[in-house]
Amino acid sequence: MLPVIRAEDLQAFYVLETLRGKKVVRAVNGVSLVIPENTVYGLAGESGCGKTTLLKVLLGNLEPPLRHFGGRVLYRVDGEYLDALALPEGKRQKLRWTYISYIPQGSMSVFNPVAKLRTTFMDFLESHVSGKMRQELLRHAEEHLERLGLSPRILEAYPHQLSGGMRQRVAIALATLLNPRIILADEPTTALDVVAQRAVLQLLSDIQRKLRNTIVLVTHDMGIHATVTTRMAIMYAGRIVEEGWTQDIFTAPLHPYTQYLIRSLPRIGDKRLRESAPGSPPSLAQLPPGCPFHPRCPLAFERCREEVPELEEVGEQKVACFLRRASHVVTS
Amino acid sequence: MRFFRDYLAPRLVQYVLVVFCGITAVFFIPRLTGQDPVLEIIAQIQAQGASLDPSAVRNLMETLKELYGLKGSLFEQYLTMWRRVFTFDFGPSFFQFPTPVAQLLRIYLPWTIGLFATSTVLSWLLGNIVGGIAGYFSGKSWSKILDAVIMVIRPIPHYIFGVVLLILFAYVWPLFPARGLSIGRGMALNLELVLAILRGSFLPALTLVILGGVVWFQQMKLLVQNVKREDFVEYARVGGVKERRVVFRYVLKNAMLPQVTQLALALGQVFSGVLIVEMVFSYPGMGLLLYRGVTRGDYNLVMGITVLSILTIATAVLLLDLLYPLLDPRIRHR
Amino acid sequence: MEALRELLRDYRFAVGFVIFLLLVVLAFLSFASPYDPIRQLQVPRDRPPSRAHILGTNSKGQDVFWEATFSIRNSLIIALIAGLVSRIVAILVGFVAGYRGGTLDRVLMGLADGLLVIPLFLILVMVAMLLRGSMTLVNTGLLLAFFGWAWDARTIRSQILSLREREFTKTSVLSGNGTMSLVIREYLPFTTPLIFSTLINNIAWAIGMEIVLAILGLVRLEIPTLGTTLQWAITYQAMLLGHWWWISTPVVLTILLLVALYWLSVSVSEYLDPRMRIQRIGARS
Repeated sequence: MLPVIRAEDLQAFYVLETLRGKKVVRAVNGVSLVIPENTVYGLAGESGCGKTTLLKVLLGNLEPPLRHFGGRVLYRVDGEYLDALALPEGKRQKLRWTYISYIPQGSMSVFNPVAKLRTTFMDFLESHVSGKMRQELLRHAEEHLERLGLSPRILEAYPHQLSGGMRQRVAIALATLLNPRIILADEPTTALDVVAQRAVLQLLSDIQRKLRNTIVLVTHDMGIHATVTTRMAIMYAGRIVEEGWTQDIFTAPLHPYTQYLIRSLPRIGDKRLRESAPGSPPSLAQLPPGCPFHPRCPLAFERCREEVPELEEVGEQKVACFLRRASHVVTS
Repeated sequence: MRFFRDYLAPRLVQYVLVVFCGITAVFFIPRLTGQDPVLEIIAQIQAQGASLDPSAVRNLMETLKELYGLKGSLFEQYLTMWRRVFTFDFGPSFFQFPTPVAQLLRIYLPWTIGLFATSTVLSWLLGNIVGGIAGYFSGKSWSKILDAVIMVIRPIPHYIFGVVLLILFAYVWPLFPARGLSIGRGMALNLELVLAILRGSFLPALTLVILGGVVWFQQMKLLVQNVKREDFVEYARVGGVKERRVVFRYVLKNAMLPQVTQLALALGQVFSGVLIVEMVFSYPGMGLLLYRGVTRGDYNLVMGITVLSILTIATAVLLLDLLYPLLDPRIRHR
Repeated sequence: MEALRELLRDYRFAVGFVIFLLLVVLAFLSFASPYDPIRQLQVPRDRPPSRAHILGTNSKGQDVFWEATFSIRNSLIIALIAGLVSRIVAILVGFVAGYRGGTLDRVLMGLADGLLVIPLFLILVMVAMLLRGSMTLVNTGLLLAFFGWAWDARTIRSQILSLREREFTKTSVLSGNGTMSLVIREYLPFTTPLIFSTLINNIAWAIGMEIVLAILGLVRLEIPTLGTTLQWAITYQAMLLGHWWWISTPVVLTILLLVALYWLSVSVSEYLDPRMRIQRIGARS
């Protein structure tokens, strides 16, 4: 399968000026990813591991204090590879919504509260589809909503008149309006009730199936990854620590951290105490030397404290761990 | 309509309550001082050297008591006052005896309302828009320079700022009349009149627009810097919505809403400012009337002005409250 | 002292502080005045500034400069009384309303709200008309205090409300601290910047109000204040007659005083803001 977007040793840090000097938050600390087309791709990890920042960088949305420190992001547009971060902003803007789009976290407040949804849709469309009449754009938007199973009458409403789940689905509609090849969805189901969650996930799957694009689904909820994604990556402290087919990762997780994540999922009939990894993730401003996970890893040894493990292939999976194949960490 | 019940009715009740409490306060607070305005007047007359025999003094006191509504028990006085408010009868003006206060008010009030409405709307719009744009582009040097200038203008009180403008533009560079307008009777409505009005109103209006505008500028600038960071604004920018549209439709339009509420809260102070500025420029409004009333000890007149001001401000607040749902769809559609 | 040095790095504080200090010095100079502040016809009238009289003389036969020193002093006295007394009321009302809540809160806030929509200025004028005879410095100050607490009480109350909901309140209550000591010890540090900035704002308002009262003839006009000296200058047509030194002095002094106070209040309240404080502590350690 051909990739739709690649990240090569990507580094992006927040540089903050505080009264005690400069503080550097290494949110994306050497990330390499190859995301294939026509996939639901998952990105998992605890909050604060850098997932949202990674999405921002993939979008090319770098605004101070976030700065690009190294690596590349390659878009595959019309068969060619484009270095996204080297493009002028104007060209990047053109690619947004037509090639790559974004569904932000907390879609509660993603729409202008004082404008009808119709106005917001038009605002987004107008900048990408020039020369078309308002009527055409409106029709296009209505058709799109219908295709997604949403009533076009929604456009006449104000954001506050819709429920949270509904708003989220409209946000998805907005993001897919121009049939982009890749959609970055940041925690689309957080703060929704179970029923709404299901509707949203269903919608995303439908879209993916119909339009045959790639959806990058970022969430800390491993259950969602198990249900919806086909391939996934695990992120920890600004780095990718494991990557592969979702099925493989769940049946045979290689990285100790992945094992903890999976062990924390409840299973029917299993009444044992859930164990999460001891300790908490490191501050991205003060990373420990060597492997970022080593302070919490029960299998850590000398090398872990000194060297940073690179992502290496083990069969069809990739893992960044010196043990290469960690046996089950958590004993019963 | 649900809207009427949920939104309109409570505000009407509030309006009535505020006017009621305000006028009651006008009644009670001066009485707290324990001073009797009638005795004041008698004292003033006697201080000016006139000697009156006791029966004449008593007669005078009775008449004055009636005129001031000070006859009878406290409760009776309270009721009298209300009766007068409803009939718009504040008694005769003392310094322009026997012209009834109500008549004077009728002549001077429209001028004040005109100045009040125009300068408030202008200062609010200008201050908010300039402040909003300055807040959006807060890094630019012009924004910072504007900040510094406003830091100097902001603390200056109305009277002083008015005097400064008066000295500069009516004396040093005599562009405008120093004594404002004089209203006579039977003025023909022609271009000359309109121009004269504009010339005479320009300086007071300028004073109010600048002093009012700087306050809105500062508040709006802060507001916009917060709204700028909201999710929907960032999303719009990522999504490629043109910057100009983002500034006006996404940022300013949202930041203006709390400013409408703020305006309603500030109207009392704004009105006081208008009166003060009128005094500086001898503008033919209630401020000038107030000045004349106070300096001549015309208590009836001052009371009339106060009651009328309370009504004016409360009405203006109510109008704004009614306007707000037109601007905020979240209130309009529940 | 450390604090002073840090504050002086903010140009607003530095300029405001220097100007204010100069004005206070001028106020104290009044004690050394060779002229009586109230008596008229002490010097030749209407002389422009010269070496004998650095700011000239006015139409009442007084030295403008020395009158000015008294006017600053008296205006400051009135404003200080007004500001301090209204602080006490505002703090009491704000704390009690914010902490106790319930009916007491609603009554107090209703009272404060009512006083906001009513043009306070006019009622102030009405009362002043009645008290015309006894408007000494102290009484003027107290009168202004009576009308100056409403807005700030509301602001203080809002802050108390938000503090009440925070973690440390619940912790403190659970650990058995008495209400009064809790309120005073825990909340005061947080409300100090607010109280301080409202104090300065109130002082500035009082100075402005005093001027308006003086123009309306409602204070003891023989006592020189910023307002009364301006009032006399206007009454004697100083502008028209070209005696610019007489009318400019109180105007310029007032502007300087109020701008200085404003810059001080803005810079100090930013400095005292607890969030900024924490950042600074981090810098030092």
